[in-house]
Amino acid sequence: YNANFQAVQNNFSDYKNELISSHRPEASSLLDFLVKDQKKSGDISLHTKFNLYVDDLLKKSEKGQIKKFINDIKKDLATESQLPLSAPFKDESTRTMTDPQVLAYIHQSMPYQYASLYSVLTDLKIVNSDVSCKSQHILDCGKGPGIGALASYSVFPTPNSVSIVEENPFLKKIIYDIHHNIYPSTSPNPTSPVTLNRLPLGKKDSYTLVIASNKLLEMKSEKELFDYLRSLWSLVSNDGGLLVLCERGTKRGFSLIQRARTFLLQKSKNTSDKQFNAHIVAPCPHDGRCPIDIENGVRANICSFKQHFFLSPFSRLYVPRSHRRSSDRSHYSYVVIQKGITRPLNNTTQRFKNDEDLLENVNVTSPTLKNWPRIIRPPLKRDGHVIIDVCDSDARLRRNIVPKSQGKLAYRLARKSAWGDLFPLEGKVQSTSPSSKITKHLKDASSTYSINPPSYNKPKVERNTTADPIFVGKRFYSTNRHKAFSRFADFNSHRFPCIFTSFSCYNCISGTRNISRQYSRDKFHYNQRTTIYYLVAISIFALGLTYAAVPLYRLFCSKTGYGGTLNTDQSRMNAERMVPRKDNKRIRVTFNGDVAGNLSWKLWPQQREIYVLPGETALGFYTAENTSDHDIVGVATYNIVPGQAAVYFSKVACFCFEEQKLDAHEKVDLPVFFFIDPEFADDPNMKDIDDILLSYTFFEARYDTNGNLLTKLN
Amino acid sequence: PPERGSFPLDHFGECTHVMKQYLECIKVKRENQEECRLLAKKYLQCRMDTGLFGKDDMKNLGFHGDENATSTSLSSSNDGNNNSNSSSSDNKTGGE
Repeated sequence: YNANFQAVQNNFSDYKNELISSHRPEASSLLDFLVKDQKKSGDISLHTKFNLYVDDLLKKSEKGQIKKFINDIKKDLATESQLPLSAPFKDESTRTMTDPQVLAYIHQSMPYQYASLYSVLTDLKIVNSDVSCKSQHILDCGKGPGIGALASYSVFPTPNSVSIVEENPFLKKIIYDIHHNIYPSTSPNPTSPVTLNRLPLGKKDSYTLVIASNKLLEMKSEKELFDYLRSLWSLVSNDGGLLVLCERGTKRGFSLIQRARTFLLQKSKNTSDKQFNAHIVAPCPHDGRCPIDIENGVRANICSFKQHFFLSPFSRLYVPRSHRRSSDRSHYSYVVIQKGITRPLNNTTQRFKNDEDLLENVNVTSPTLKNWPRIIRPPLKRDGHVIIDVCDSDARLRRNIVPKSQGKLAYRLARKSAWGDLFPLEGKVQSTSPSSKITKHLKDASSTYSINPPSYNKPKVERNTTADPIFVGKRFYSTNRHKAFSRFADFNSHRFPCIFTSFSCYNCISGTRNISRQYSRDKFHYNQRTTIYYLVAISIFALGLTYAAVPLYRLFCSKTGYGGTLNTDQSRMNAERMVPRKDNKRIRVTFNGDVAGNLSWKLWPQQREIYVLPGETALGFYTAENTSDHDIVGVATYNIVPGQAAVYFSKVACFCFEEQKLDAHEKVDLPVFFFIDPEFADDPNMKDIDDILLSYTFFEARYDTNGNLLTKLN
Repeated sequence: PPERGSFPLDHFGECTHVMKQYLECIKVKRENQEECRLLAKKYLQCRMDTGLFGKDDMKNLGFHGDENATSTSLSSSNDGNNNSNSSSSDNKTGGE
């Protein structure tokens, strides 16, 4: 086993071959089935002949009318999704449609219906593989030009006979033209397909496959619906014949499917005749009550599936350029009911928990597949684990969480799982929808649906069992965790807007959920806006600061004397400050004089140094001499070394910053009157400073034509 | 610029003699002793008198009046440093 397991990691096909060689061919078929066989491709498109034919028809007909009807259909679909379930709504029957209306309907609906039916029939074939072995007598009574029959040609290539029910003469013509071109040549009966005006009620129990797509929405009343279902059911062969009902994946569509399902199961329960036994082939793995409570839920609380497909070329006609697409997803709800055969016993159903089970218990036979749980929501593939919601054979919704630790093969299968697949693996963590909700639903049922007599078969669910307490804690099933859950649900709904991720909790909080979602969305936007405001404010402030930086820095330096700039703060030069600190050591002030290169002056200090106390005023003298033959104006700047002492070096009067004019060969005395601030003695940073150098430099002052000084210093 | 701005240029050397006394004092004492400070005060006074420096109270220039008594006696002669030293210290003690 271990050796095999290693091989799985490396190469799946290698592993498969190994299993086959080790005389366990079944193993490969199971894994093949899970990973490959039951996967449906999105490469679905209507037959080319059909496309060309419809394209031709559309182009020949009047453009304006078709456009109008297309818009009507779109409007109808929009209103349907907005209307509450209780409101009356019905699709228009083809019986009363005009020719352009029929064309508009084909244009809007056919590619979608085809994809849905193709997908449904493929599912059916997967679950019930013997369906294609038997002789096929197909009856398509769906809305439109025999689209169910078209889909069945691709899935079951050798039908014995095909009958299509259609009343509208224009549609009948279309059906005749199309189907006689497309009908598979492999069929043993070349007289097919036959177009009938109404259901062939005389031919009871003679059709192995009855397809009714988008037909239930046409029914005006419940009575009409049940009459229709009854007659459809009577046509199905009682030797394992199948009835396929498919509707749009809307709340209303699902509700109809749910009702039809309940009605037919009920009917078969009431008759003791074994020949009329009914059981669900797909999508449900059970014949109990549907665990999805549509009345209590919101938009996404339905059992529906999606199928990717390629739109037909004629779908591009009459569509604005911006809305044209090459592919789309068809959203549908369906049920396939089989007649005359009983469901295989539930205890024969296999459950797989870990890798070893997956390798050991392999028996992919058609009857047991019907009892395999089906994934009814898109699996949430998260970091290191996959959350898979399934409808299980005990008529309960179940959430499986398959983490990596459950085994490499199990995790791999979970990662590969898709919405609508059969998924026999049990998650390491499992939680079940609380049965109390189901019983509550049952109580309400008689009032909600008049079609459910109170004697409806009791679901096999034990009413009093509650969900495993571990999961109650972990998975927010208890009602006092509404808040935590609604946050959780909201988080997911951001990523998957169209799906509901945690079915069973929906019932408890469905009322508050919309509100809380709205609230958190508003709050999110509010927070986003606030953040943007703050960021803008900060950036404007920062920009302003860069402009103000230079003046601010100057101000700062002149106030504090930082960086060797002389302190010129007037408030510091009053009589009280000029008190010598006799307790302090004397500081040596050294003098230095320089002249900038282009100025023909001489400047030298008359004393080398003076020892002063902090706070003591002192005089120093420089001598300047003009060595040139003409008058020169000079400007002096000074600096203090070390720079940090400049804060304390205050000048009362000096010869700096003002232009000094010296006549030719003149020599003058330049006094400097200064004192060191007494705070110098208290500053610990100045403790080690014994010397201060006062340095003067003279520059030549130049003037422009207006007489303004050019050499602005400081 | 400093508080009292610049010293105007002493083109005619009117106070040069006081400056020389002061520099001599600095050179000898090497420290800014009281007597040298007196000479400094005298120089500033000279400047004020000749209109080369804004007139101001000596207090605001760091001379707190304790030198005043000796300043007149010293202004006449260069020597007598010792006297001024002793007298200034006397004055200080008296002031306290």
